[in-house]
Amino acid sequence: MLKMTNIKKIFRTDLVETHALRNFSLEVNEGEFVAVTGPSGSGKTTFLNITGMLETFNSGTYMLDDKDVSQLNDNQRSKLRNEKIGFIFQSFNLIPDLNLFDNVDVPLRYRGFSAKERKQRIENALERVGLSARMKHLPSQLSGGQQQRVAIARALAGEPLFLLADEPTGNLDSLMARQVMQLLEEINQQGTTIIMVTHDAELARRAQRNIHIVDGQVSDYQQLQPVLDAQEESEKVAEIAKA
Amino acid sequence: MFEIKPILSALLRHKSSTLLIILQIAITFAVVVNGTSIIKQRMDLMSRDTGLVNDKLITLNINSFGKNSDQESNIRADLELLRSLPGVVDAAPMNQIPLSGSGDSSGVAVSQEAHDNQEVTGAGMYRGDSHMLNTLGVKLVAGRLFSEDEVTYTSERPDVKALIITQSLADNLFPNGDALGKLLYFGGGIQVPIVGIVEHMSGSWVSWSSFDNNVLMPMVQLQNFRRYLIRAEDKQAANHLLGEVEKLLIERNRERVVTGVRSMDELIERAYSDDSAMMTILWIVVILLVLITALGIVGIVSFNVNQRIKQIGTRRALGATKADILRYFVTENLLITSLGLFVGIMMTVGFNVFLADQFEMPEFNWALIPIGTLIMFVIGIVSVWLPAQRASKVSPAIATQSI
Amino acid sequence: MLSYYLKLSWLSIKRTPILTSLMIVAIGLGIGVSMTVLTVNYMMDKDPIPEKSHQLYHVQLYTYGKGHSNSNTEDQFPVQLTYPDAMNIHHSNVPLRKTRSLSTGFSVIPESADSPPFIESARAIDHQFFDMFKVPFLFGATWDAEIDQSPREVVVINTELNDQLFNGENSVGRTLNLGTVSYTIVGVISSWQPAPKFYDLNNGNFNDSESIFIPFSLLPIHEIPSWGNNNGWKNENVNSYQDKLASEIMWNQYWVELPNEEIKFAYLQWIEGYISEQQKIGRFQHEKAGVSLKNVVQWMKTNQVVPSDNSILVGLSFMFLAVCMINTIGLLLAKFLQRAPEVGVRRALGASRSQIFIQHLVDVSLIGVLGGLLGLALGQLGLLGVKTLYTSYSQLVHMDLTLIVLAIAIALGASITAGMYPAWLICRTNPSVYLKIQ
Ligand SMILES: Nc1ncnc2c1ncn2[C@@H]1O[C@H](COP(=O)(O)OP(=O)(O)O)[C@@H](O)[C@H]1O
Ligand SMILES: [Mg+2]
Repeated sequence: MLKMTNIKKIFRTDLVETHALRNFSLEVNEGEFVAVTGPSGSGKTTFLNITGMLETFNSGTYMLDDKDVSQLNDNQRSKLRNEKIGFIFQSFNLIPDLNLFDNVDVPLRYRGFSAKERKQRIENALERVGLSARMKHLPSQLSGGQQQRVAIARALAGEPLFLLADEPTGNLDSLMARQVMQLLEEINQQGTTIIMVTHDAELARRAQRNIHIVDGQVSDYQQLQPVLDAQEESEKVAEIAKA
Repeated sequence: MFEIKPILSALLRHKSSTLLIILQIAITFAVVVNGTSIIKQRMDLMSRDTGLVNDKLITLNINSFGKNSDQESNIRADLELLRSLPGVVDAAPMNQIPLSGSGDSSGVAVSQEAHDNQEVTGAGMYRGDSHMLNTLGVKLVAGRLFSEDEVTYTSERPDVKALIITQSLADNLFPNGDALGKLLYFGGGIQVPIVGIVEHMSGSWVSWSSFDNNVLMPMVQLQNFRRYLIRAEDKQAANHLLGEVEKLLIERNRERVVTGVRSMDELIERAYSDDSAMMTILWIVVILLVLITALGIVGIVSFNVNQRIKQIGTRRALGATKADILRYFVTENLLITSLGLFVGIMMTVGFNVFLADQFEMPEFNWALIPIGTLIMFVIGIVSVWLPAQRASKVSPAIATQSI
Repeated sequence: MLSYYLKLSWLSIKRTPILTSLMIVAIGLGIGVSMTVLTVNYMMDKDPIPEKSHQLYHVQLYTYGKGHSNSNTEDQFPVQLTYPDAMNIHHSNVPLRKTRSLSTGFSVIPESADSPPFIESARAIDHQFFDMFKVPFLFGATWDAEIDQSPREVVVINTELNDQLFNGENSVGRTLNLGTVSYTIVGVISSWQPAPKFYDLNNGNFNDSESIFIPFSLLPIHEIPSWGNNNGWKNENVNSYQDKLASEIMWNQYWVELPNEEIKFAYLQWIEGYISEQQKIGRFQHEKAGVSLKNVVQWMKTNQVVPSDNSILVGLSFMFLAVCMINTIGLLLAKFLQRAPEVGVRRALGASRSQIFIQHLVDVSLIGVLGGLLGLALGQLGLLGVKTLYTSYSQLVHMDLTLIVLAIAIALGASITAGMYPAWLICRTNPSVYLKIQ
């Protein structure tokens, strides 16, 4: 479904050339939960941005759903991104002026759904992240974990093929991080492919597959069994909540 | 000024907004300086000395329609009445009133030959009786006044025996300063000796090039339409007369209509109404423009401060004093203002050359450039001060906060 | 989608109220000032009689003697005619309509002894004047054609004077005393105030129209005085009204209606014939002797109906608008850049460049419309100011629909132009830059 071969990304500034990705190759299949780790500056975000078509690359091929991304123009990439990809960011990136309903509405607007369909999808998505009661609240009225759940609802509302998450738990305390992780796992189990960049080795281990990027290249990837199954996980969350 | 380098590089990074402010300051400067230049010209025009006792004069028109009895005795009776009124110093019948915007003019020359060759100077022709000069309040600097018996009352072409002219006309026609006693030629063989020279007297049309060139003649025209000029003791008496004089004149003779009872101050105001309107509009434009530019600077600098709050906090945390921060923004602004003014001065010069070309404008007042520059600098500093002050108050603690 | 963009614009206005108000004020002032100036200019320059302005011609004859000229006009033609010329060319039957014209005035003496006499401006004309200049009648009509040859004391008055003297009743057949002469009223015209007063541009371009119209043929009989300009160049003994009628003094005006080029050509030929006839008796001795026919538009131009001060103000007001626009671009740049992170998110969520661009243009259009409305309000205020500053323009100064639409269009156009660059900039930027962890 997603296939990168020999992707090269070079950032040029007046002074330096940074090789953010060098001969980067990777294949991700439908339904996978991929965790990406690596030291800071190794190219994780660059990889995610290229995957999400927010960034172009210098050479190599990137096939998304059998389409050659480098052949698409900006408009087509935007459309593809809108339909197939959901983004989740470390700093949530909710739009502060819009209430939760309108935030989740953003990708749907660009999709061109009818008002009725949008309403339905927004309510469903917020329901899924357990925030349907707070539809009219502004992001600033929510905790960090709740904000991230809204961001997830926003990413899900358009029923994308896969979610791209760049350190989605980086700004959260461990309880909230776990809740968000649990939510992502549920989503993955319902069929959405997830690619998640994280610093947290424990969280990474819970993904089916781990990719380690060093210096712009995949240095190592392994298929892992979930360390804890979902049952155990919810117990652990409950414990932390009590404390 | 050790901070200029980082400021320059910051400005270069925000090329477009820097350029925009420079352009805005430049155009504002050009408009402000050229606008004030025009204002100054109009002000000079309006503050020209009239040579008259402005605030003591009132004027009126008489239109008589009666099956005309003796016009001359009618005029004499009117003036006798006017001169006898309390608070009146003198009064005179006149064919035209200075600054009124209507009247007669004629070309005069220093010889018959010169007149035939069209070598004439335009001059206003003021006809009235022997009280005319005293009523106007003009100052005789050479020669004599008209005598009572020199005055002719006629409806035909008069036989004028003496003229008094303004110094300006005398200087124009006789550059050697020997005008007194010379003859003035009106064409058609008419020549009249100059018996007196008055220091100064404004003409009837404020924008006429011969505004200051005027000729006074001892003659009263007998027509259904005529004008009277009245000199009061003071402004108060003049104001009182304004309300009374029409009634008194009509009471004396009902077969006429009195119109246009006005003070000289009102005539002057009317004469320059377009100029003063232009001045008002220009003032408004100049002030609004300066205001807009100042607000623009406030807006942009406020925005920059907001954008750099974290950076400012960090600088403060690293030891920058409030004064350092303030100085940074003020220096940045001074730099931009200087650039803007440089471009503005170029534009002003160009704009003015263009305007002068198109509209025959009087000489541009170059002193306005340094004055304008100074003013723009002050405006720049005033507008940057508020947001810069706010920037200097940013707490160093902000550096450690996450947004 | 438009309603969505409008909603977003509204939100963004709410978020940056100060910046937004600064922009609205800047655009509003720019529009207000330039609309005020443009309105005055437009109204002054406006064709006062568009249906006929190219058929009505003002006649000028170069009657100066050798060595004389008029330095006040570009082509040096005198602006008015002598009485003999006005009388003579009136014999031509080439024009469809024609009228002699003189600005004058009278003391009006009301019938009732308790109302005092008053002065009214008047015009001496021929009977076709009203048809030529499309003057509407309320009661009665113009006088008979024959009166232009064999004069009788008839008069047409305007509705204002009719209101004052006859309480607005049909006064046709009643008497009007002008000075010592009694006139019979034959017609009352409706309100008629062309601005500029194109049919007489020598006596105040924006003066009120006259309230009394009498036959020109009465001039020699009642020695009707000229209230306008009298220009002479020749040394003549002018001791009486009869002398003046025979003199070379230029104090009459003449208008003809020439419906097409052929008739105009024929008329020019007729006049040239007249001039050569006159040359035989010693008139028209200047080498430039000739005729000039200027239609209403040309006549307005010759007489500089739009004062040069206005051109300066138009120039300044456009510079003013330019500053306001530059100011707005700067503020928009700031506003949009501030929004860059949000744009990054939108791009990540699938908004295309054009969608972002349009969103921002809708944003500036909204500001433009608001600025335009403020500008209209300020323009009205400005016009009120102009009215008090230039009392003679009062009836000239109002915004018609064209101008209101123009104001909004300029505001919209200007703000969209101003918004183009910032909107382009923001939609071009790489979204990933703004999604970074700060
Ligand atoms: N816009 C950019 N311009 C220049 N260099 C960049 C840019 N974005 C990222 N880089 C460089 O590319 C490399 C990879 O960055 P990134 O993918 O953000 O790393 P990570 O997310 O793994 O921390 C780093 O060395 C970074 O400095
Ligand atoms: Mg990263």
